[in-house]
Amino acid sequence: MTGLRVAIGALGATGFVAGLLIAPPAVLAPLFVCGIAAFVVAAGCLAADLLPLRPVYAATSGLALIAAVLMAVGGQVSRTLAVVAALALVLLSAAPRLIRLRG
Amino acid sequence: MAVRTPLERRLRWAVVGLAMLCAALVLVVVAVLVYWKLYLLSPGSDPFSRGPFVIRLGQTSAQLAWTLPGGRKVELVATAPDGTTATARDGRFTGLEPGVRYLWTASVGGVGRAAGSFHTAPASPDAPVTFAAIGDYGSGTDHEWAVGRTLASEQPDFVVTAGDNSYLVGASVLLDRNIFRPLHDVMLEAPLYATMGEHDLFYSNGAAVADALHLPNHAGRYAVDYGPVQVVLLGLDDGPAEVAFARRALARPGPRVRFVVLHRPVQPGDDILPLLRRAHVAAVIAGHLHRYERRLVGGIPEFVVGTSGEGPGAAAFTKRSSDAIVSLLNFGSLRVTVTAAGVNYQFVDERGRVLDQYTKG
Repeated sequence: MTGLRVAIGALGATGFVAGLLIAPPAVLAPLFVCGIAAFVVAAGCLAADLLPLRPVYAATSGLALIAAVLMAVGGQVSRTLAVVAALALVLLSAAPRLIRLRG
Repeated sequence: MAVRTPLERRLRWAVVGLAMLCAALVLVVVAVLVYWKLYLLSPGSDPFSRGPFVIRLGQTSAQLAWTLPGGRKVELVATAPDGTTATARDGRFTGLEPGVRYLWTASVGGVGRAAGSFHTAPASPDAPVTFAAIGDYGSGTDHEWAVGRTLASEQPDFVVTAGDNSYLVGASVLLDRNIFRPLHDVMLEAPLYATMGEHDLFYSNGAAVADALHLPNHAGRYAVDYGPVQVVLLGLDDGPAEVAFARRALARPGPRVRFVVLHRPVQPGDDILPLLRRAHVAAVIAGHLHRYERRLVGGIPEFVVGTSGEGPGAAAFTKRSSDAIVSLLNFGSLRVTVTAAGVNYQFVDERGRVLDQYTKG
């Protein structure tokens, strides 16, 4: 499910760049849209990692779900929180590949 | 990675698609719930189980009371027309200006939960004063609610009641239904100075009603001064104890216009009449008889306001007084306006019509 992971990474990167470049409150809209989309994609990714079960992959997908929610709504509390969540999405989407390369 | 058949791959994609669809549905449900909570649900219910309502008014002070479960703190602020504000301590405002209508707000937890206004007693003896009188009202009927609405629209300085504040008895459990809800709007604006009728005294000897309305005593026997006006409330009738109290209260110098309020109407030949004449009492206001009547008893105008909520009842107990100048069965209240020129009395029915009017210079 590399395509889904790439999509998550792309959404995270978009949110990250938007969080850095756009001032509040205008930044809330792209963060929200990217977060919602990432949440849906991460759910599919998690399902794929559960059938068959790949624990590390599934863990990163589960964390990506949480990061997506944080990116979507965290901007209401703090822009930093949303930007960190977006960065986490990028890292989590790349984590399985990095783990496999190191292994 | 294990080699999968095309069918397994398609099934896996189907599961992935299903998971994404479920996630989207979760988001839709969350969005609906958030929208429901933010925009569709009614605001939080009134935290006060009773009041706040005005219980005392002076020239420079005002007192409000309330019942708030949980002992939460209430912040009361009164604002004058010129923008100056006063903060109440234990429900009591001090240092107010005489003859000014203040807007007050009661906040709980930083949110304004109730608001009203009150008019401090004027310092000038010639200042106009308007008050309302009701009697035999506390039944929670549509008529009492209607009378309560007309009272609130009049914004009287205060309201006096001629007793029978709660039917059939003055039990604590009935008082919200019979007094505080129907008269809620007017009690935001004006104190309710009540005296006692049989129905109030029958249960707990008047204690429940008196305590709920923060009256000085359970018999409903006390005097109120408001600017140039004095109202002497006697209680059930004009017996010897009541006459003695009236003698003391009416002897006090100061008020320009005096009224006596009691439950049972004063009758010709009663012992109190010479005292009322000597004290130049402007009028007697009574209840008991479930009619509105205007009479002249021993030379003193007497207004019976017994139709402010409870129905007229059996004809045998609601007979017109033989000496009544006006006698009506309409539900309503008496509006009394005191000016330097004299006193005007208007009987206003539950539909806002003035059915009787009388002026005395």
